[in-house]
Amino acid sequence: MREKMQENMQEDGGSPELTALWGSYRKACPETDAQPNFMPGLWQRIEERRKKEAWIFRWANAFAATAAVVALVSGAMFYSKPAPVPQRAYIEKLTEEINEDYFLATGYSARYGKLAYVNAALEEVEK
Amino acid sequence: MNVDPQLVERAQSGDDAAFNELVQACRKRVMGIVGRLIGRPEDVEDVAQDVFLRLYYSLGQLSSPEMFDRWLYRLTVNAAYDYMRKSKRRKESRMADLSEAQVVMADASAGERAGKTEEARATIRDFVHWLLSGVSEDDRILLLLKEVEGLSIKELEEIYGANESALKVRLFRARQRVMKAFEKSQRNRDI
Repeated sequence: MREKMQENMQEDGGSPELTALWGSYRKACPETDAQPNFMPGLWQRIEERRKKEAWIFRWANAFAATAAVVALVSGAMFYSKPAPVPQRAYIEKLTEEINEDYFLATGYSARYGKLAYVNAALEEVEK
Repeated sequence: MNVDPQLVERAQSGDDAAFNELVQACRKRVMGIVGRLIGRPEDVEDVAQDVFLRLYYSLGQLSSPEMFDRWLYRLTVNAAYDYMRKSKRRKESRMADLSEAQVVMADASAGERAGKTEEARATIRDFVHWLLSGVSEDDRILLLLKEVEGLSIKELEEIYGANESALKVRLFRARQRVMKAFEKSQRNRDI
């Protein structure tokens, strides 16, 4: 075992002083064994973590359930109120939007019709 | 560690008594490694408990009981990393100047001559910790696993999941840094 360790230590070279120092360090580190309360302490930590995880799991479940209920209620509300049917047809609405100003801008008066446009043209020619 | 694979399987299946046995079987070894990695005897038990806590919650992920040793090594290394990240000790030790190291080294050699007393051991530990304060936590642990624990590159590859050349490069750089600090301390000692 020790021979294998020495082999491994020498695997990539390195200074002999440092290698000796690592060996001394290994010997200088005390082999401590656990106190009698090591196992009870460990089980206490395991239980604490278990409780914490259970608490998180419960909260995650509650959150997921609430989110599902909210989604269902919003969906139900959305589908129970159908969108209002437009009162007027699309063409009617378009016609209304093309108002008198548009015709005036192009030299055509909706009020007087084509006649006003022609009269204006004649006056221009007489001048 | 040579743990019985059947014991590992029983612990994996949720047998608490088997887990207790498993901890008893590996405890001393784990505490030894942790002690050498973190260098603070007073915190060894706490970090070792953390290792076994991680083991308890990750045993289910272990694909084969034969891999248990490597698995436990990895958990030990991770727990040591986490401890060292939290610890401010390294920051303090970085502040230590070279003259202190020189004194420590002189004390260490004097202590060794006196017959390897506990005081000499403590000074060797302090000196090695000081040398290692110049490298990152990751490299420190890698270096200790290689040089002090005596793991081979192949074993380190399994623990770290890294390839041989990457590990060798990291080891080489870490060694160079430590070597520089070591030589500097030797020079100052000789002055």
